[in-house]
Amino acid sequence: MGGIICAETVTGIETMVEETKKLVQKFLAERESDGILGLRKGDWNIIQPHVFTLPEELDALVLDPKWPFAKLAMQILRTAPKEYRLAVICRGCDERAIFELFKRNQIEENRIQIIGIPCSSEQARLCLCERPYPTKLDVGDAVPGVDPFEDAGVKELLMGDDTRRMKRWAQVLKRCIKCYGCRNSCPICVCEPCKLENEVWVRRGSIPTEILSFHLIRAFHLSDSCVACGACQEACPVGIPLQSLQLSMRRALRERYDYIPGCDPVKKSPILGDFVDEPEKDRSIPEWVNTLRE
Amino acid sequence: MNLVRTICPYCGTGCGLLLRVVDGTAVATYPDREHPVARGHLCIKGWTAHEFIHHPDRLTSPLVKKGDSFKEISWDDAIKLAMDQLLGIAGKYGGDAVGGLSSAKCTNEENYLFQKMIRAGFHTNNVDHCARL
Repeated sequence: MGGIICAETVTGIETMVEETKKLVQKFLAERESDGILGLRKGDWNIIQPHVFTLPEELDALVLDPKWPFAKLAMQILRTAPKEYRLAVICRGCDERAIFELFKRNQIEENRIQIIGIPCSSEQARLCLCERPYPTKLDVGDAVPGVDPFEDAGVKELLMGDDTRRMKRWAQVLKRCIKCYGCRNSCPICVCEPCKLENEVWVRRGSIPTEILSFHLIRAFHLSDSCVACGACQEACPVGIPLQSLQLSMRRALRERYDYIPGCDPVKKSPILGDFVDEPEKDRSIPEWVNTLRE
Repeated sequence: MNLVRTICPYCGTGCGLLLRVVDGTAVATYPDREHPVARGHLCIKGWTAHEFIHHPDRLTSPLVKKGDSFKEISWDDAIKLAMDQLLGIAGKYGGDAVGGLSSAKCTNEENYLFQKMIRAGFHTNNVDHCARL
């Protein structure tokens, strides 16, 4: 393959794993970080996240399945000594989440290093991911993204007749068992205290939850920061299409403000920023508000 | 960082979870995406499973009610007391006068033995467990 690593083939994946191992080895040898967060295949071939600190551990390093690392990395850094530095093997969504956490002062930039890996096109299809690669790839080659609005399920939820869509959303959101898995797994959900634990908005111990004050509070809190990692949807035990709930606002941010959350470590969202880049100054209520009408 | 792979103790479903342990203290719970039952899903109890482990209200020894208050006693004394009382009551009023409430936090085998004791030992079907409440 002439040095090009293609994530689509078995040999491509194996080469990518070997290349990553070499890179991690270098990080450990040069003491660039105190540990490297990745996936380890342990006893009985069980895969789980692991902080690699010794070269002899690297035989067990794997890259699949997708396992969101950004929140875990943030939590590891919080309980570690101040001088502890962590490198993280990042997919596109992990990197975007880490960038958003920089902007929200949740991770100090000098304590984290990113080892960028691409997702396979199969993974991109599963996640309906528009950017299945980080800004800088350390191994492998990027595959093209997927347009989520081309997906039949997304079309059903976000396009067409309002009444039918409202019925469909009420139907799926009614399933919620209020496990807080979406909040817990979301890399951007870091509010302390969380609005969803406030009796004013969310009643304790009753299901189904209030659609407006639970799911939509969360959706709006993440309106300018959702990195479309899909962690919420993957954690949802009742299969609520939570990722689709964010798509309208992600698209509006991109079309109206030329902003994609997490794609730049410095550039802030129009909500955190100063609105200088706003392309249409006269428009006070963006068009996408219409799609949330009851 | 140490991630300990274990099973949620709250109910009979047995979802897989990962406990993050820092200096001997469980500080967070994560769903186990590789677990064949849960496949990365948890309910609210599973997500908060680390909270009871070191909770100050957690019972660490058997309690016996004396008057209006509970007193800590040893396991040996607790088992002896329970045996004496249960056998005494069942002997006098029959097996249906006693019953047992077991726990989903026990193993399958422990629960099997418990219902066996109640059913075959005391000849009553008065046996249930916390996850069915």
